[in-house]
Amino acid sequence: MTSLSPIAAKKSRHSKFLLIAGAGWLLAGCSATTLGNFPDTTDVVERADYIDRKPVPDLSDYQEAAQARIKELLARPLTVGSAVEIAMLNSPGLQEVYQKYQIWDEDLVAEMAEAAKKEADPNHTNMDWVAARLALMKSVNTVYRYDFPDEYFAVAEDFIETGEEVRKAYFEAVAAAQLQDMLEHAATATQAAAELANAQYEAGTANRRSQALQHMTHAEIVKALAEARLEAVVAREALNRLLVLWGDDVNWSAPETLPELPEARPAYEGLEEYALKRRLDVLSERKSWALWHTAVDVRSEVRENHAALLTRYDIAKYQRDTVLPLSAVVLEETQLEYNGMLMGIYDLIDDTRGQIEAGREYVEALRDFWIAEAELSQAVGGTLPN
Amino acid sequence: MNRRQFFTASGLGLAASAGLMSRAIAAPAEPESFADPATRQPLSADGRGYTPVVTLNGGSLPWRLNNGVKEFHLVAEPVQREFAPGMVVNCWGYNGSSPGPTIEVVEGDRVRIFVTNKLPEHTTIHWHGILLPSGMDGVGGLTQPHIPKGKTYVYEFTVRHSGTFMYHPHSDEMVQMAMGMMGMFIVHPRDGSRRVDRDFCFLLASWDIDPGTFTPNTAEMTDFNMWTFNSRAFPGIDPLVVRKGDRVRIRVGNLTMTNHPIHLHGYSFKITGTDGGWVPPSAQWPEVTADIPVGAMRAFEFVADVEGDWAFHCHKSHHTMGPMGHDIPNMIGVDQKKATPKIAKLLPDYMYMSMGENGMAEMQDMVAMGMSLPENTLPMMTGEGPFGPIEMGGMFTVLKVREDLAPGDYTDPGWYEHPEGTVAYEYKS
Ligand SMILES: [Cu+2]
Repeated sequence: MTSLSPIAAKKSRHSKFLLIAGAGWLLAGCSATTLGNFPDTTDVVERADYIDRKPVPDLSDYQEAAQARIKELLARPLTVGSAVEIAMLNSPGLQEVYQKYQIWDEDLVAEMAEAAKKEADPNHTNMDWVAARLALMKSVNTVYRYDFPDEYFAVAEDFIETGEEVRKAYFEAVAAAQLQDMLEHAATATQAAAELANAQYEAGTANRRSQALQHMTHAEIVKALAEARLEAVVAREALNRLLVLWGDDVNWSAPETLPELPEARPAYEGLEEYALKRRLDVLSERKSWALWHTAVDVRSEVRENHAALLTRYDIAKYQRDTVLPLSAVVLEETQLEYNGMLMGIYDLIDDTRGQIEAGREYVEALRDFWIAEAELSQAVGGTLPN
Repeated sequence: MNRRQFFTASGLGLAASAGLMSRAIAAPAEPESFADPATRQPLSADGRGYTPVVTLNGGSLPWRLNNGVKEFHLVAEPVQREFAPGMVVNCWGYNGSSPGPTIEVVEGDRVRIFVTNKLPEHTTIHWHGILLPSGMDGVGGLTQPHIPKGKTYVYEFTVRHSGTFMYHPHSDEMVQMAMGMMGMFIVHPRDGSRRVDRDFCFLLASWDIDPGTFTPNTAEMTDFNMWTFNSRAFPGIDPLVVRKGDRVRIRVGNLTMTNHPIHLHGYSFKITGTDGGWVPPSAQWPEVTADIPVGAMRAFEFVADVEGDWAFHCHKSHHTMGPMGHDIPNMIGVDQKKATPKIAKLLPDYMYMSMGENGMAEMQDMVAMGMSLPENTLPMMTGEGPFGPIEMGGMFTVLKVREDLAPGDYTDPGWYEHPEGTVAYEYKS
């Protein structure tokens, strides 16, 4: 027990106060009086039917502004930040939340766009977190008196979870396209080998068996390429569904390559305490025994996800800084031997494919790194420390 | 080994050490280094009526006369040998060189050869073809203990027959010979007979040195990629320079694992000697190619009466090539223009060229264009002559016969200047 955070050690009577203080990160920018007026959860039960009694507001202004912003974002190559922003604007589930809590309007669109522009690094834009923060600020400003903290946190959690899904789907989609593209190169290589085998057979320097073997090698790549093309479609459609895109909007482009691996190894200090102050499931937990259990789980999840992120980072870096240069040395030496007629053209083609394969493994490792980052980000409550 | 053999062997050992102790021998002379691969001037014959030999890209080991005994000092040691400019090989050899220096004596000489072992393992020296007491034959384990590393052994015998011989280890023999341990042992007739004007000698060796490596792979049995005269490959082999009218002898020893038909252009010659001795004139017949069997030596002679630059090489065409792939696809006549742009596009940083469609001569052009090869690797074919690329490698050099050459002058005279109208020319209608 003593090793747990102060949150877990508090009695239920005090936990409400802590929750509100802990939620300060979401409410940054709100006035002190707003915070002071935060509802006391012990006496809001009688207002339980407030939301059902509210008039359903008109969404058309919001939707117009949101669609304009989405068009603007889709006109440029999609970044992970713009993808999350689109999901925040376009998700029917989230729109329902905006509507229910009356926090949607064209201002929300503009504020999110404004927040997105402030992010220097498009790969680290946590637009879900930005959206959650803005939405909660708005709800605090407008309807907090009649709202329920539990729902409040559940809604914010929806933002964070959707954001994580979008980020993962984005990296899957970009990686799948890149992997497919690289396999196209491998297919070009085996096709060249098969054509050489044809020419050899024509010239009488290779028999039909050798010719057939080169064609079989090419056939394997052709099949693998068909799979890769399908995987790219599947990944792209998964993202389209999360972004709720259809019609011409599905013709978005994305960068041809995944964002590069960060220079610094993302080893974070004090991440468990950081998460306990931000995880909405922790913040929303009132019963001390449940809070304690949640905190234990959160700490474990954070450790696991942090270890996963570091491992993914190390593997990607190893692939990039060690394996890729090694495959380059192999190919370079093969080229030198080909120059000297010490090795043949098929060796050169094989080692070209070897380097392409090493490159594909790097793309996979890099994709897994970014996915691990999205998972850790979610595990600590939506955004990693700077 | 049974009990009796054991005691016999021990007894012999004791007797041998007692014998050595009783024999007070002066310390061996400082060994002379032959690390420079340039062909040395022959030693002086001291008026003893013979023509000293010229060792291609090497030389003969000076001796010290000690109470009528010719003393030599060979040091077995790791050496670095330049096969040709651009390729240096980690060999084992003698006195800084592979092959070791030639030992050159006269029939009837008493010789004492100190052998110091600076190899990382034991060794011996076997005097190949020389008739001597069994205990001096240098077969480790059989006729003497192996010479441990760091130790010096003494071989001493009287040379009874003239001829062309070799020396090489008989101790981890496969490895040590594959690493380059060998040398010539030339014995001139005492009576001044069989004298020639120029007398050349060299040893044939084969090597498996993977492209980009520096040390021979001693485990290879058949698929060698380097073929050398005295551990030099064309264009690293010096020419055989001869004065017009000279009587010339060339002595070749074969320490590879295959035969080599050594072919001389421009002349027919007669094989006058083997490692078994001199061939009687009645048994000599004219040849232009001397096939040197494995583990054998041949001496052949001719009168160099026609000037020119005459190719002199092994007639196995793969042996006159530098390193090449023996497992590359056959591209003769293969139209590669469909595949070439695809491969070139995949390798944008590499100047890809299709090869082999019209033969392999383009290789020489690529070398001339400065095409890169793996480090420490000679091109498959190379060498620039007065009329263009020579497209050779390995066991190839040139016999240069010139009129205006002083006796005893072995300086490379440059390319032959052909008299007007004596060079093949293009037909023009
Ligand atoms: Cu040969």
